[in-house]
Amino acid sequence: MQKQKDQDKIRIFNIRDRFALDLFRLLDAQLQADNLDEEALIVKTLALLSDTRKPYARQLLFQDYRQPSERVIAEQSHLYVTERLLLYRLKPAANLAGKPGNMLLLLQALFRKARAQWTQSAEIKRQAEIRPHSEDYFQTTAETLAHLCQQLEAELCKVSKGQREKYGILQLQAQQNCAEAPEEISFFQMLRVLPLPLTSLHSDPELSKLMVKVIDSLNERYMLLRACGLNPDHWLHREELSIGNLKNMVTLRNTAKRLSQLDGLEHDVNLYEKSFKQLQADKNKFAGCEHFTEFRHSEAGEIFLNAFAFVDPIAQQIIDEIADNEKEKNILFRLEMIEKLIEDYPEAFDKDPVMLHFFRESLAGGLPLCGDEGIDGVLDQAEFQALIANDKRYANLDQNKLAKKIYANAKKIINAGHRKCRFQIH
Amino acid sequence: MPISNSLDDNPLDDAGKLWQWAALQLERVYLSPLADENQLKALKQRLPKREAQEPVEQWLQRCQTKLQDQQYWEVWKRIMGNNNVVEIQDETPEVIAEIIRLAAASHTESYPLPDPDIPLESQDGVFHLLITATDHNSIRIKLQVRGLEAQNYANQLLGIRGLAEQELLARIQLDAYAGGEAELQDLETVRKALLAFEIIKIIKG
Repeated sequence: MQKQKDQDKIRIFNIRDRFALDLFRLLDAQLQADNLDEEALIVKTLALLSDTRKPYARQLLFQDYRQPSERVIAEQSHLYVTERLLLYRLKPAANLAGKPGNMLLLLQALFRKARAQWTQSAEIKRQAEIRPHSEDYFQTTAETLAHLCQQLEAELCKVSKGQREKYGILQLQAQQNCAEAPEEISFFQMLRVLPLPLTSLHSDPELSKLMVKVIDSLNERYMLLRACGLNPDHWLHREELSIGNLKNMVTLRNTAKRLSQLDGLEHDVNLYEKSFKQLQADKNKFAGCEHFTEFRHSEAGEIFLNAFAFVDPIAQQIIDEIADNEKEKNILFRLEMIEKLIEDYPEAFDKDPVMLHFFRESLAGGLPLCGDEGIDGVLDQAEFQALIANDKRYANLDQNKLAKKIYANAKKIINAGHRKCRFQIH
Repeated sequence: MPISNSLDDNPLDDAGKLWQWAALQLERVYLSPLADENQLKALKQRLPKREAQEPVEQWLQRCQTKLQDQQYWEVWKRIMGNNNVVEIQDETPEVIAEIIRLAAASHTESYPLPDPDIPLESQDGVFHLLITATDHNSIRIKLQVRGLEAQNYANQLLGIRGLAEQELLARIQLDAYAGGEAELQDLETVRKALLAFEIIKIIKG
């Protein structure tokens, strides 16, 4: 039972999880109103991304590390909000076999959160043919959906057309009501379909997981461009650089890095050529090019090599962001990493069980430090509260000061631990 | 500290990378308020006005284009603060001295942000003490005011004109490497900055 309860908690393992959670907190207030205040939602999202006190400017948005600029943060937050998050129409993956994609599943889940009872059984599914029917209360939803389908008709991608031909028409069904649903939909369009007001979203971790999946899909191209040192402002819509090519470039960078570490090779253009040839092997093309010279002189290749080959270690920090993999969400592996840190710097934890618990539960376990409505934080745990009550350094602080102190202490330990290990290396 | 988030290869073999990863994760799990009202109000006032019936998509595109406008950008920068903001929580000159020492010690890092152990920020989040390492043995301290409302606060309550625009309160030479002792040549100015924090705290209750 406890295990099940733990699985139901919202956890933050990477920056996209955090963004999904913050977006959720924003939406929770917005969607409980009778009408969606679109401007307010946009302004709040822009402020969220641009605020340098939050982790997004450094961890989510593109920056040119050779010429760091505050202006880029503002430009990128506008770009991210406008062309990725809110207005970008997510295309279905080819392997969905007719099932609705994550954005449509999110629509379905949010739809069911409406206060109106008739929404509880709402479902998006395919049927060979559609028989539209609208009771009075469904009229607005039906009209919004019809408008979206009409707008989309001329712009449907091949995959969407293929899915519709093969598996039938997508439709939103709620009780006896039924209307055609669009094959592709943007986040903003999805919000417009919802029958507001909704109930609170926070108590539903499944919804939060769905939101993370949507953010992951929306973010994919932006993240790959960022990882390749290519400014999304110039490259987001240039489809000659495919997702596959971008992934190849990331692999190229990782391979070059590994070769450099293993064989002690200089981090230069020759290393990249060697890595390119090794990865290309007997394939006709790699990263969209037949040979390294072609790649090197291509527009993207030139920027990529300039950004990474000669600007270490800053380059490394950008490219490493893409190294997220299965391990990232594996709590046991994360715990192993934290235990290694504790072993590395035991004196920081010996007399501070509060910090020890925080490192294990929050940094490894992904629980937020302090929770929010419906979100469990480490500070809400009875076990953690008992540790705090028994420790004079923390016992008399109010929640806000306590959170700040724990954050400051953790930062202190991390900085000291990092300095200590660098000192040992040198 | 350079930031890395690599979990590939075997991170367990690289303690430096593990500490960096922990720093990133700490930043993520600390849930801060979504936005402060002053910031939102100021931002909304400065975005282009949305025409009646204008589709939100079109308005968003106009907002994005507006960023090319230098004046708009300057305002945006002031509302949103910048990368060198250091948040500090304690107020004693001794703490400041320690932070200054750390800031100076960090100036060789590739990321120019001083990394103090204890953040200092006025209670309402409007005032920030900013510390930047400028060259080998000197640093710059600046009291930064966030949001345009805050500028009026600074003018009226503290009698310091133009604070939000530029003014740095103290430039302090120090020898960060002489046994860890920082020599503050202009401690009085630092105290003045701290006094500003106190005033704001009292006013804001």
